[in-house]
Amino acid sequence: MSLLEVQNLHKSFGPLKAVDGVSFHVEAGEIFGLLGPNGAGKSTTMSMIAGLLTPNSGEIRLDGKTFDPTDHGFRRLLGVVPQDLAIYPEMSARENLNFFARLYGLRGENLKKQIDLSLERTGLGSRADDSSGHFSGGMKRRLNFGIALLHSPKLLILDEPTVGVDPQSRAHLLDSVRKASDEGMAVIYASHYMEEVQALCKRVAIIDHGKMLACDTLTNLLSRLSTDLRLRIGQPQNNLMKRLAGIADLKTNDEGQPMLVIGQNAQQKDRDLNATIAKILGILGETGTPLYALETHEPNLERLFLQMTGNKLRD
Amino acid sequence: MQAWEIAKKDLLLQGRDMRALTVLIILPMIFITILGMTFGKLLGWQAENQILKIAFVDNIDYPSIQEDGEGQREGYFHLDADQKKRNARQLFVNMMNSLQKRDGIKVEEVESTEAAEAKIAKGDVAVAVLVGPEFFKRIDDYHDGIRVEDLMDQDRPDGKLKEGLSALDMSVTQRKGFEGTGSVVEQMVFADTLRIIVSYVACTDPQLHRRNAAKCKEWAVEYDKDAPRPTPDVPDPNKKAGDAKTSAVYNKIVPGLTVMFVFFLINIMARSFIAERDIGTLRRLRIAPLDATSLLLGKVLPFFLISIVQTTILFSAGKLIFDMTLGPEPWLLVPTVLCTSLAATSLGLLVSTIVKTDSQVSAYANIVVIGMAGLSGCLIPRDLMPPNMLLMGKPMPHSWAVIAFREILVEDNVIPDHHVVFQSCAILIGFSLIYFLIGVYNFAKSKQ
Repeated sequence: MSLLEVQNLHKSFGPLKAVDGVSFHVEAGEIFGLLGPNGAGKSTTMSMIAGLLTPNSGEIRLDGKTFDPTDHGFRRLLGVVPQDLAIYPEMSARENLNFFARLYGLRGENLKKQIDLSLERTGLGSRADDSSGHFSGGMKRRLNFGIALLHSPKLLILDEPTVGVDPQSRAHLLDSVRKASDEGMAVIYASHYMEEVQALCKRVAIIDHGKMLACDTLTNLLSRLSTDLRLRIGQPQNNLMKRLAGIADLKTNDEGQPMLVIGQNAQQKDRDLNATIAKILGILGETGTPLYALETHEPNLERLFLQMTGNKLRD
Repeated sequence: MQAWEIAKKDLLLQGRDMRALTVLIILPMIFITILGMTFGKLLGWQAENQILKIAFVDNIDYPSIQEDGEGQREGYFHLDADQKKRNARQLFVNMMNSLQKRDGIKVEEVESTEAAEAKIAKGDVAVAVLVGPEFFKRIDDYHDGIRVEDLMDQDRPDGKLKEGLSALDMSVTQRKGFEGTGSVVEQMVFADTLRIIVSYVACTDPQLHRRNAAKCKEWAVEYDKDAPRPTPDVPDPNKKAGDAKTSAVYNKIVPGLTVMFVFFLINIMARSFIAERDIGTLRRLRIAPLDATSLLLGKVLPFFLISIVQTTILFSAGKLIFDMTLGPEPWLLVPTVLCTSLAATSLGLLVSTIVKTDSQVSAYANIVVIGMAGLSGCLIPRDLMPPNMLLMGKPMPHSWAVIAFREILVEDNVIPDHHVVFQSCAILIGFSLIYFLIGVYNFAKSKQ
């Protein structure tokens, strides 16, 4: 049984279908990536899971039961790290942690223990009593993260948790997410930083226009892309491309230099690459086209994301 | 319990924000001081010490006063010229002293009519009482041919006093715009003068003098050339706005301004909500295990408490600094303060769920606060407002708060009408319920 099961979720705002039949599940101890361009429906989906929005239809099951946002027991299972720095800048880190911990019913020794643990996890122990308004962006992000962990939730939802932070704080936050996952917490990680998602998540869902475009393991998703072999050449001459038809495509790199691209996707994986390369090299020699460099282009999440959601700018 | 956690947090945040203290306490104190002085000026009291200043000019023609002639004033003490001159001066001094004893009035003797007019022009005094050369002669004449009926009925068509002060060769002059005050002073001086004349005449009758020897000591009926020239009492330099009349000014303005500034909480509450929304903590609070009503109660409670503290401080300042009376039943202030604060915080909640940005607060919330205050009698005393405006103010909680406070803060010897106070409180509770329910509805709706 999955810790979180989302089935056929729908949410509309007037004529706009913000979420249109989204389904996925997240296991305990799993870090699940949620990707999508701006306005794709990620935040609406996460808001429904957090109980901030009521779905028009569909079901959310948490810990085996239908999620009821009015049930405080369910809310205690959730920890949310919002994109905004949801902390009180006039209060110190400790005061912020103390306030939110008390809202979750922590008291006495347990309260103190959890605050200390959170300060340790976020690396803010030495600045615990300083006004959080004077913290750097990275420190504020870490405090924002620490607040969500205070009550040891079973499901942690992170919405762009590393926006605007320095590399050290980012690395610290990503390590903290991994630790939380190791402790058995289920994590939904939404970010525009593809390398973070690729580094953290085993499974990823891509949403656009409210619909789920893909939801699979990272390996399976990336296998949809080819590993390209790229040959940087001189200007094509003597009917080079005619002779290479069906073997390689001609593209240009960022500097405008011509490149021959040999695709190697799942369908082409059984092709004899030795023979293909030998043939291309032969044709290059025959046509007098110089070969300057040979490189590979590995599949990654960003390529997959752009391939699935397109290059059109979003508002 | 969680509501109290949110309330504690907001109390901490407000305590660290000097803007709240400035708007809720310091600003109203400044307003009360300035408006108190301005209203005092309008009523004719001198602004710097809330005292009506009157100049007296002694123009009595002393050289013309002669010893009683043979057969004159038969049956009375025979008085020589010096004694009569002393009595003329004593009459003048007694008139000054009589006014000097009144609350809120300071009297000073000025050497000439011109000097008095100069003081009026400069604004040093509001009114001058000019005692003419023939003042004593006319009293002496009355005495000579004394007619009790003149004193008994000053309006008699053939009476010698029917012309008022001018019959005694006295007149009153005042600063432009202070004609009403001058008229009141004229009536006071005339009444005091007649009383003093009666005392003088009675004391020059040997029989009456014997019976009232103690009271007649001041009148020279026996020759005493060493007796000093009578001089008026020196006014108390510390005489200030501590009398009933001037404190009444503050009794009129303090409740209204207090009510207005209690409703300024709307601004601070709305900004607190907007700040929670802008920094994202409101979202975090909504995710936490607490229901919307607890969240809203937690947001409203600190401002309710702040409002009670604010009102207590302002009324205490009114009492201690401006000598405002709290009326004969100050305990009635407790339910009225609670109900007013409840209405203000509930309206604050309603406004907070409507406005979205700081600039909307600046524009709309201020219109609501100042507009409602203006129509409800917070800025101008209700008894000076036209009936149409009073009617327009009825659907506003400010009006009922002001009505209740004004009823309670009456003069010490007037018992407030409990029905008026409790009816106003009930209406304020009604407003609070309506505002709170609409606020909760708006908040719940915004979630969808």
